[in-house]
Amino acid sequence: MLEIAWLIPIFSFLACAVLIFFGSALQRRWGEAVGWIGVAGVAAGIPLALGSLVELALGAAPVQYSVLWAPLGARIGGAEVNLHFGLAVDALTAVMLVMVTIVATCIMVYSIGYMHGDKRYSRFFAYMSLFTGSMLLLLLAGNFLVLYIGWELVGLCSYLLIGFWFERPSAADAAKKAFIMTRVADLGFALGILMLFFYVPSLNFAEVFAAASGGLIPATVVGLAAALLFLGAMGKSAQFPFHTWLPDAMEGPTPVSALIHAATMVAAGVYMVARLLPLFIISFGSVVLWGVPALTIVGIIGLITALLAATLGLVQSDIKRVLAYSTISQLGYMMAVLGMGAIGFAAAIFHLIVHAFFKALLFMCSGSVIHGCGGEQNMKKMGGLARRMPVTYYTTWIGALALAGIFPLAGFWSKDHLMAAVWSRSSSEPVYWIFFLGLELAAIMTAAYIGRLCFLTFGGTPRSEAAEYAHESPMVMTVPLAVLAGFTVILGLFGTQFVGVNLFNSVVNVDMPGSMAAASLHTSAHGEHGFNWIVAGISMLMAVTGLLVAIVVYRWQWVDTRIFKRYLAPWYQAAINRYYFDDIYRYTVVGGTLALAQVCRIVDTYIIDRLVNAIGWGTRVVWATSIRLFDDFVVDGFINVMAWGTGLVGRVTARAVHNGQVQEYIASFAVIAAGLACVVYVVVMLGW
Amino acid sequence: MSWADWFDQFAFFLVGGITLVSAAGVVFVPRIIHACLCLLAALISIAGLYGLLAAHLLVAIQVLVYAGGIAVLILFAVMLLHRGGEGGLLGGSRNLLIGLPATVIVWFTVAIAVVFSKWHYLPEFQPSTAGASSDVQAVGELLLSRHLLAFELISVIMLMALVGAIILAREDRPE
Amino acid sequence: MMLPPIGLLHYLILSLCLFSFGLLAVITRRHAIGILLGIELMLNSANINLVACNHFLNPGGALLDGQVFVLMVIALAACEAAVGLAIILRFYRQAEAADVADAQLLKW
Repeated sequence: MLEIAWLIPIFSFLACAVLIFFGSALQRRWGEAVGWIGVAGVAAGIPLALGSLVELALGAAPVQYSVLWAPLGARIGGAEVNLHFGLAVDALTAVMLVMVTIVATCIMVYSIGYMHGDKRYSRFFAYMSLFTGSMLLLLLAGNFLVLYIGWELVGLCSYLLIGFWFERPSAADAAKKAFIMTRVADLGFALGILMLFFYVPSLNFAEVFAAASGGLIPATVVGLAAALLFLGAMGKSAQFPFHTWLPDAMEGPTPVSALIHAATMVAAGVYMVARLLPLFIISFGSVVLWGVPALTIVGIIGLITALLAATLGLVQSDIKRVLAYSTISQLGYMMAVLGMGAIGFAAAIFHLIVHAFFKALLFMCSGSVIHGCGGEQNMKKMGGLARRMPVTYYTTWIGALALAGIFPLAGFWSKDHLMAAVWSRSSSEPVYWIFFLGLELAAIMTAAYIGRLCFLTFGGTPRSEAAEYAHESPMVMTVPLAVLAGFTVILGLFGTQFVGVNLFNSVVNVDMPGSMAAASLHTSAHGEHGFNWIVAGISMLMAVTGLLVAIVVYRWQWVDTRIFKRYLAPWYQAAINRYYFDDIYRYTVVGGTLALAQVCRIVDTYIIDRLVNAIGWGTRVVWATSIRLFDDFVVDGFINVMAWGTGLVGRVTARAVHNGQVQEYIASFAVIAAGLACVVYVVVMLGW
Repeated sequence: MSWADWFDQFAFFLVGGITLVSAAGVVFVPRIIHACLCLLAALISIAGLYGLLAAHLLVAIQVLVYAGGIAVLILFAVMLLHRGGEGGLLGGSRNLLIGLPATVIVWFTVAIAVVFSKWHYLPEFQPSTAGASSDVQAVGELLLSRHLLAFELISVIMLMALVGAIILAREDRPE
Repeated sequence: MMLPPIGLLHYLILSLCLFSFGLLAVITRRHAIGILLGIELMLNSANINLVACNHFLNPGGALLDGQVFVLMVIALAACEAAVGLAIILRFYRQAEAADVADAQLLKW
């Protein structure tokens, strides 16, 4: 299985090709069953991914493939440089492959029901297959080049899918926003890669890491490159300050949101940082910005994002936007923990995977709710859906409790890992207590906003016509919900200490190059840390606190929400406006760009155009007039003289000769032949 | 000079003179019918020249084909065309001013070539040897062996000329 | 009195004169048939050349190719006369005259 793991994305790409080229034709014949082609393409990867993971867990060595793609020749005074198409499968890749294939399969099965009746039905599944395939390619990348290819493909697919209903201007705008913001961040990614490539004649991860730890690359450069690479991750994973595109991406169909938030798009950023974590750790000794090393930047950005997005999630009324901010917040958690170094590696990946399952579940539940309420997305117009949509109701609660981190769901275990990693880091370096406190604070808010979501949506009585007549979704949508809910319940077992050994941590661990493994002071190469009762207790306490707040306010309604609005008015106003980030961007970046465009337009219209016109006019007047005069008098005159002369000569000679008299022709012929003969005589006589 | 030499001289100048006079008649006599008769005389005297050159087969063919065939054909044609532009040089020719100089120029040009060519450089040059005899059998064998291709081509050309002449001379059918 | 023996030059000069008369006839005669007559003269002058050369430039008398050529030329002359007369007849029938000056289709 490990040897043919590279087939996994191929299936998805094949499904995409079939659907792109034959989708509409097949749909005419098979109806909406064509969606199963996409499902099959993604699902075909599950056994391969599972097999690869099991083999790696049983001790098989990671495999690498490298195909020469383009030889670039030798650098001046250096080694040959070749571009390879490199793939690699190690434990990190394998667990991600398993997660992506399973989650994507569930989402695509769900889409078959959700997209029922859409006019671009087969096209949707083609894009989804491409999206999943791109993500799988990104995961399988063995060098920076393939990573970048997958990275950009994912960006493209997110654009296509967010703007899938491009007839709606808001969807088209959201797609553009997502694409442009991530592109801006990708510039940093590309620069980081090029910076490393400048020093190392290879793009292979392992070789770059070895070169970086061996001192081949200056430490400052490693740090700067790592920071630039993280810039790309910030865009993809919607980290502050690039987070604004993700809530807008809710304009896409709900399965797309689920895929983006769980398996493909945003996971790419975290995966990338985790994959390149050795670079960050190596560069820890050198400072990048304001005296902060790149790794710490990751942590700080993650912490800010986690807190910021959690507060925003509290005030949203759109069910999908709550989940969107929740995703941003959870990604912030992962980034913050990755910022702890190697100790946070396994925890972050475990949380990424667990989060993928329950966030996909939550999104699909929200989709089911929206589907049931006939497209209504505002929670304030829902309510009382518990009896009307029982499957959705229970699965949502499972997802919500997992998100809040309630024992014994998977979310509890993964969050416990995170906090334990931060705890152990904090115990050696007290400044990291800020992280611990901040993340626990975010945990309260997480529990509160997800509880709010559940109570508003399902509790109480219906607050609108749509909610009154809501109905449960079809089997094709509820079965994936149940499957994902099952995963959400049991997945935690892999990350718990109670079965004897932490299965996940023993398999997935950061692979530090050579000497770094032992030498690093501040990072334990094997992030093995025992179950910490204190941390677990605190996390549990926070989660319950947050949920209690939600229950008190939204379930029992002991406190009117207007009290918050009155007493926290400044904050509420800011939060409802998303802390003015969009406005800031609109007035600075967008406004600046538009102003620059205006300036360019004015310069173009009033200066360049006029200049060009003046030059054209001058040329026309001066040059064209002189040419016309020259043409009229000199050229035409010359031609007329020529014609007149020719006519004269013709009248005098040619016409006289060509009189049609055969006999005169013969006479001329005879004379001319004699003349030619005479020429020959002269030549012969003179002995030429 | 022996009598044989004198005979050679006499015969050549006599026959050659008749040829030239007849040819001049072709050019000069006013009526076309007389010109044709002059041509007939010239052709027969040329047959005499062939005899002097010991080409006896050619003498017979010249008399039969040219004098008996072509010249008579032309005579018939003249008789068919009862009206036409008469007049040789003596009968008023419009191209005399062009024709005479042109002819003189050509004459002198070729004469220069004939006179000044160094014939004796040719290894076969034998000034007065009356060598070849016109052996009919030998000519026939040559015609059917070495010059067979030309012979066959001539037959094709004659066929084409025959057909072409018929088509050209035929009366136009009323449309 | 010593006259040079009759040789190749005599015949060549004779044929040259014959050729000149032919050319003159072609150029000057008004009647179309006159042109035909001139052409026949010229052909015959060429024949005399061939036979004379075959006679004098042929030491053993073994070769008779010149006479074969003359046969060919005579055959061609017959063809030429036939076609030429047909053309003249046609021309006469159309133009009601046999004066070549009336044939002016080639005029520029």
